Amino acid sequence: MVKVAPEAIEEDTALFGPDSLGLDSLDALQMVIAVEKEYKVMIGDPAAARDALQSLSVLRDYIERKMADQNSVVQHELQRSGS
Amino acid sequence: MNSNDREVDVAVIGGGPAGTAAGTQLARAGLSVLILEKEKFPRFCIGESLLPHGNDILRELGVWDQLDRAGFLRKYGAEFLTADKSRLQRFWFRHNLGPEREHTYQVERASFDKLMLDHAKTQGCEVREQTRVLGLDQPDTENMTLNCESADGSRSSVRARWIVDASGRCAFAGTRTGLRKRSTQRSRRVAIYGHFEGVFRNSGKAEGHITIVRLPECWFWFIPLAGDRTSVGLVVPSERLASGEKIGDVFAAAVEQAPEAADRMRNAVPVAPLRATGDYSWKFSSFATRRIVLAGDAAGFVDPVFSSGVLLALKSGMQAAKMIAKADAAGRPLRFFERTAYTRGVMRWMKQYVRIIRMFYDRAGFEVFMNPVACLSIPSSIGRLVGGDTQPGVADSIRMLLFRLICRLQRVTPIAPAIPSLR
Repeated sequence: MVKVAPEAIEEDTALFGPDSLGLDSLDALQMVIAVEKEYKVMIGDPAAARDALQSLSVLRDYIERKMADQNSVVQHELQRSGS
Repeated sequence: MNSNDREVDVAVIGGGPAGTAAGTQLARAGLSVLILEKEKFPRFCIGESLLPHGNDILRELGVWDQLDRAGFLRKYGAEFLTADKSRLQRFWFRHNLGPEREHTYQVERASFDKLMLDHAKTQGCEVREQTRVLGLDQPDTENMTLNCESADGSRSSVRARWIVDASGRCAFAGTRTGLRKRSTQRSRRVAIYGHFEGVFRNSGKAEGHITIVRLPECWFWFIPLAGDRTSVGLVVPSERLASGEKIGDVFAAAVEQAPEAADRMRNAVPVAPLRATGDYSWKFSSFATRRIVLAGDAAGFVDPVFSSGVLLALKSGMQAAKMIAKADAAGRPLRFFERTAYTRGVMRWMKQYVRIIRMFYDRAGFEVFMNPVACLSIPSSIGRLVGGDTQPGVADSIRMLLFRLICRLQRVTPIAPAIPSLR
């Protein structure tokens, strides 16, 4: 369990690795599950997860862009079924 | 003698960052300086991304505080992505360079160069815009004469004891004094670039990050500028253009090939037609003669992937000015050892980049770069280099050596995860 004040976590704070918040693989798994539950965004393979969970800044862009992608797919399908 | 003829201590050819850094420094040292600029500022120029290690020089020149007020976008780092969106590595200057260098700026060069030139004027430089330098008589003597032509066609001559050649890629003095030009990259590349509006922006503090998107053979830069403008460029092997293809078609095809770029460009509207620059990455064999010093791109041009252009221009311009001021005070030309020290110094800065650039273009090298081995603080050494630290300590040098070794190994046996889209 990491004991850090939430204010101390900035958007560019590294979450894993040296000079970071010091999260471990279990934390990573929990974050992946939380993101999937909250935003319906899947973080597929381990490399993608490592990249997406670098920092909150990256994670935010990752989720936003995935959601935009999914929306555009949904809209595309809606248009197709509408025409 | 023409009424426009002038005699000065130093003639600076070119009013870009190298020229204004050198001019400002020399004027402060008490020399009379005339900056000759062929264009009328503000004018378009590519190369908008600064590096935090240039901050010190901008502070020394006294323009740093003006940059924030001028409304330039703050740049807190850089990010590297693969074109298929599978990988992303976001660097933050703060992590490796400390609070003094936690950010720098993305600058539209039209405004930045104008700001620098205006500042040079306030520091005592005389500036002549729309003045083209046509020729040089009696090179390397105390009576060097530059033949100039103004926009209205009138001729004038400028006599100077010293010349700083900051003419950029025109490389005025280098080509005229017969210095040998060497290529620093094996393969030739072309850059196709332009300014757009409506390009995707990162959120939060990463809005000002430069984004580099890598494809197997080429790469894109996305440099967000103040307002809604973004500088977007594509660097491709020259062969792609050799067949007479239009630059717009090559650019569009590459965007199509790269989902990451296509997504960012989805709502993009060009502000001006695309431009192209070819055959880059070269340098002269020497950057100084007895009375002529080459600075910035006029000395050599390094591939722009790590945004080193303006930094190298500022650093070399500054260094050139200090060297000239010292020799002038002693009333002598530049000594042999000063010239070689200057050339070696600037070449060493360039070499730092050339090495890491080579690794960027190498598939295995890029795979390691995207997954820097976390031990031995290698990532922070890379972070420092990405931030523009051109004088790494011994420890950093060893780490970079190790890093290059790991890149070599990666070709044979996977150390970092492979990036399938580049294979």
